[in-house]
Order: sequence, then C-alpha cells, then structure tokens
Amino acid sequence: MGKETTRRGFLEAAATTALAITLGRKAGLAAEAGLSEYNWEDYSYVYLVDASKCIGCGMCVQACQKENRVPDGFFRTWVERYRIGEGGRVEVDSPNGGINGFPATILDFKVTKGLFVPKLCNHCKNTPCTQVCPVGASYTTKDGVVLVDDKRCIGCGYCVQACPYGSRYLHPVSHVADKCTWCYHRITRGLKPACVMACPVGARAFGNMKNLQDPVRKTIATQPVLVLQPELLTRPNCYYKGLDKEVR
Amino acid sequence: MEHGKHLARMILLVFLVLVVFHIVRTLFTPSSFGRYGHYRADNVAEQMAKPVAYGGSASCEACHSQRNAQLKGGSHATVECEICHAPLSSHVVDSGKIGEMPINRSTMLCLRCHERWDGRPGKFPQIELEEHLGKMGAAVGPEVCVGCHDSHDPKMGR
Repeated sequence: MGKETTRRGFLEAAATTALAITLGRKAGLAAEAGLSEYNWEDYSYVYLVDASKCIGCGMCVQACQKENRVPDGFFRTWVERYRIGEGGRVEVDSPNGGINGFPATILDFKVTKGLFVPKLCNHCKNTPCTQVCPVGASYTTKDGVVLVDDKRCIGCGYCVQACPYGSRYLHPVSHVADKCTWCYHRITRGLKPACVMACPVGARAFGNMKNLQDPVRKTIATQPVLVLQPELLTRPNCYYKGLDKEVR
Repeated sequence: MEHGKHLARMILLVFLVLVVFHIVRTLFTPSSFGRYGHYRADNVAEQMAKPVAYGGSASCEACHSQRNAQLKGGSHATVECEICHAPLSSHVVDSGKIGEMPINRSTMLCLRCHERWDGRPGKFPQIELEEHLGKMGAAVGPEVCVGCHDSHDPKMGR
C-alpha cells in the first residue's frame, strides 16, 4: 500500500514538474517571440515592506542568495536593524546583510524602540542608475523592473555610484553591475520573488498595480505608506509601512 | 571652378566618414538593441529564462502531501518548506530526485526567529533560551528544541 502511494506520488510529481518546465520554457520562448504569452503590458509591479512585522530572521536574504547565486559578502537584499534609545541614541547594524540573523548584542544605552528594515532595489520610476549608464546596459522593462544586461555592461560602476539606496554592486567574478531583479525569472512565471516567498511573517509583499483586486495595490491605496528618501524624486516602486524617522 | 573640386572632395569625405560610422555602428550594436527602448531587447528573454531554485510548497505537496497538511494546519503554516530545508533545485530536477533534502534540527535555526531580540515585534513568540529551558528542566543543547517541539507543528499541548 505504502509503495503504491509512493509511486503515485512520484508520478504526480513528475507530471507537475514536467508541466512547470514546459510552461517555463514556453515563457522564455514567448519572450523571444515578442512576449506573446507573458504580456508585460498587463503588469506594473510594486513591492511593499511592512517593517513592523519584520522579525529580522534573514531568511529572505538567504533565499535571495540561493535563488540568484549572489556571491558571498554581496547583497541584492539585506536587513538592517535599528535600535533607538532616549536622547537620540541610535544604533544601526546589518551583520553580513542579516543573512544569518542578528546577534543579541547588548548596547550601552537602553533600547526604547527598535525595528528591522528589509532593503532592496526600489525599482524607481525615475531612476538615476539607468540614466548614467553609457552603454544602455541598465534599463527599465515595460512592467516596471530595473534590470542589468550582463552581456552589455562594461563594469564602469557609474550606476553603483548613482544609486542613492546602495542597491547595486560590481560582481566580483563577472565584473559587471548586479542588483535585485525582483526575481524577474520567477515573477514572469507567476511566482513570487524568492524573498517574498521566504518571509514567514508577511513583512514582504509583491503585487501588480494593474490588477484592481491586488491586495498590495489596495494597501498602498488605503493605508499610510512611505518611500525611502522621497526628497530625491526617484519615485520608488517599493513602499514601506511602519518606518521610523531614523530610517534612511 | 577649382573651389568646386575642393567642395566635392569634402562632401565625398564627409559621406565616406558617415558610411564608415554607420557600418561600424551596425556591426557593434546588437540586432535587438532599441526594439523596446535604449537597451538590448533580447536580454528580457534571457532574464526570464534563468532557472528557478525555489519551487514553493506546492511543488513539495506532490510527494509530501501529509507533511504539507500537517504544516499548513499548525502555527508554522507561513513557513515555507524550502526555507528550513533547502531549495527544490538541489533535491529534484526534471521530476527526478538528484539529492537528499537536508534536515536542519539545530537550535540555532529555531533561535533565528524565536530568540528574544531588541527590535523584534513584541507580539511575535520569542524566548530567552536558558530561561525557557530552565522552566522545562532541560539544558542548552545543539538540537534541544526539537526534543519537545515538532518543527512542522510546533505548538505544545494540542
């Protein structure tokens, strides 16, 4: 009996995986043939971080690293810990991007409030990074994702300097600019970005502004949300809830 | 008419420079560049074709439906399988098993989420490990948590 169940389970798994692979391949081909199946006109992606929910476990950073083969010591997403005391005392840390969580270090002041803030590329609507690229390697897709063409990039690093959020780095092996893609290979297959999937407390959410029923769209429309450094007029597509004034 | 000759030469030269520039530019610009904007359009398909590592709990469900049901019924329902184990791509590829899924029973893994830290939202269940174990009469050990808690359904007394 047990053996039969296993076989059945195996066959079901085989069918599911085969289907997934076929769909995945089709998506890739569709893109080459002018994006007929995945229509990027139907999407305008948006990201929502709820800092008041984040527990700082760093599972998102770990998932991002594994999904996108991010080299050690570099981050497409990271988590910052803010510990704030009375009299303007603030301690901010992000040991190794928070990939292994945070040490329970003791500070020399009494922490009266604290929060964890996940950070990633803001995929700005008016982004400085693509404007400075001399070879057209950085660009924004029609569905609102800022990407780097690694075959086109010459590794000059202008975009790394231009980004006010520190979202980009030069890859130590390929020597080209690298950054968060909102897991473009996942979202165009209908999956969530790896970091959103990995979050156990729902501090990270991903949505589509062109879908009127989208819960993230609804939250952004009906609740108080912020963007990071709005004074720079970069118009981020990454929104934050539950921030403190100390967060930059 | 001597000046006319000079003018003709100059025009020819400018024309040649333009032709050479155009040829060089065509040679060095990828064919799909500029189809959607100031970038190589083929890169969009390249980005989409990258392999997926994390399959999500739906892909685990196919073989491990019982475990999945237990997980979804407990307080760890929002914790994805692959987060404590490993990405699906290290376990199954093209519907064939390629490797064992690691099982991490370490206390450190549990503490990543459940140790009491400054800044952690107060409502989230968290412990001081030694105090918690002291109440239970247990000593700190590398895999002490799973001795009492089932990681797929960790709430006690259910």
